[in-house]
Amino acid sequence: MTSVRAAQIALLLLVIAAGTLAAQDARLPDRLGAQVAARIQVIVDSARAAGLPTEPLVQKALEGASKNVAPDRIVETVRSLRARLAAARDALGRDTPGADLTAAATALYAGTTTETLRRMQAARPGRPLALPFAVLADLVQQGVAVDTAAALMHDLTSAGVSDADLAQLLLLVQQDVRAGAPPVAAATTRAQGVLARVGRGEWSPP
Amino acid sequence: MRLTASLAAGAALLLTVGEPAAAQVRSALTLGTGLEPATATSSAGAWAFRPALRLGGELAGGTVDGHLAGLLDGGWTGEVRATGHVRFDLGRPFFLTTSVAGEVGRLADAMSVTRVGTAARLDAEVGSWGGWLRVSTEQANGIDHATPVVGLGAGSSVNLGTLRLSVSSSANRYLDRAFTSTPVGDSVVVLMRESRPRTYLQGELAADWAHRLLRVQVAVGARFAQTEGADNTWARATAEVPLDRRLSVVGAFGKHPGVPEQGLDGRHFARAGLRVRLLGGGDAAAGARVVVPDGTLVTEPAGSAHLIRVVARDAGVVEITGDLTDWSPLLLDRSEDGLWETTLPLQPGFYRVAIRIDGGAWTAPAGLPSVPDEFGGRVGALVVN
Repeated sequence: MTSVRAAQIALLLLVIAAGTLAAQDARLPDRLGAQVAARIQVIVDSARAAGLPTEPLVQKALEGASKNVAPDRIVETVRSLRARLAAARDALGRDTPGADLTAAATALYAGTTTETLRRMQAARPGRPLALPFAVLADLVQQGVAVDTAAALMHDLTSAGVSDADLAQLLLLVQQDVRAGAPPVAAATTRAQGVLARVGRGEWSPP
Repeated sequence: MRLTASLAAGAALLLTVGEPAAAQVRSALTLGTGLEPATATSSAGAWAFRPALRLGGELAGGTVDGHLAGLLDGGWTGEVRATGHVRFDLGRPFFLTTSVAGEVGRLADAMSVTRVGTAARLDAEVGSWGGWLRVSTEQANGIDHATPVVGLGAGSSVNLGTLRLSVSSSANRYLDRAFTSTPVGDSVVVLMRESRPRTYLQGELAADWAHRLLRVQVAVGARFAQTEGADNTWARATAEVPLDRRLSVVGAFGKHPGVPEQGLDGRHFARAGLRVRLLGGGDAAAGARVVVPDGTLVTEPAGSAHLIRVVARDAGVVEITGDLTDWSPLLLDRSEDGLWETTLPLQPGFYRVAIRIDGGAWTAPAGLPSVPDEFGGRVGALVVN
């Protein structure tokens, strides 16, 4: 009887171990070493349990490894990203696609706020937001003040500007900045042009 | 074999249909000199003047191209090839590609060859490494040959910075139809035609190296078992040196492998010439308001995958890394007119990417939102809807 119970316990432990192994991402120890990978895996597992996308976390860790970033900083960056994914999900809702959440987390890192994300979502209901969030992060990264960039993107999304128009806008802004234009001037001028083209020429800079 | 000189002129038409539908026309003219075989079944050379016309087209998931050449003695050669393929994402890192292909050719001796078949290939791609398995079945008609061919192949490749190494191998089984003689009595010989199954194994090692403007490819191969003659090894080297966006110096020499199932012997060759691209490619569309700088990344659907293109007009090597490669560098293939490209099975999502040109620093590609990488740098944000 004792041996049967021992066998049952051993089988149970084997199943649990197998389940744990199956949940581990094999890419992490390959690139980061077992110790760092285990720390990352804890964060990934907590994200999975919270219903957050986990692939961005794994990719962030792989990116850090490829850039020879110190292990502690990689772990801290992944932990920070997990927190911003959660904040984005709380702001945008549980049904938000993973791409939108990841882009929103990037925009939050760039300096925008969850309130801005919510306003853009309300202005563009039911449509993908990943590109608008990424363009917002880009504008902020280029030096456009967060409030100005947020107002621009809100007006663009409210006007129903398509992803193709946003991509075109971004190319034009990048072109102007390369030619020496101040980022805020390039962004506001080009946005006015796009808004005029879609019938919202009344837009004025904040 | 004798040294020959040849002059070839070609034009290419490339039609590309994407989302939204668009078409491009490209043409090229190649002038060169080289060693050309005089007959289809031997390596003997002859002086030749070969004005040639090449037409090609490409749709998402398929290609068709052809070649027509006139010879100095009034003869002509030509070929038409068409392929169609569908690629399935089986979940990272596996992909399955099924294809059908057909080929019709007319050789220098006015003999014709045809080949038609279907194949399935399973690929695994992990970072800079790739491996594949392939099975195929074909009907090959050649010189006094008409046989089914069943093939099984495997291969692998790895990118090492500016160097790509690949190895491939295959086993092919076909029916070799030959006449045998049976003596009857003292003087009567009866010729009988019989089919004998034959199998050959072959392997090839190839290296593709690019540096600045120079691109060199070398390959060596060998064939084993149940094939006759001395054509069981081959090697070739090719090089292209772009002089500018339109003009390249091209050269190649070596020995093509024979095709036992079609009765074709291996053939030596050597060519050198100038290639001029006449139309299509890197010119900005008339009236376009956006100047597309080097380092710009664009994507377009290609069947179940996505074609990723980077504009780098004078580059020798272009690499991409990011979420779509698990942050391992992937060498892009040089395309026409300053474009570098690869095809990846991307699901809808948000991908952070970076590119590197000629071994420089990794940068966020132009044309995409540039976002902080959270490690003190910037990456591009590629959104696939």
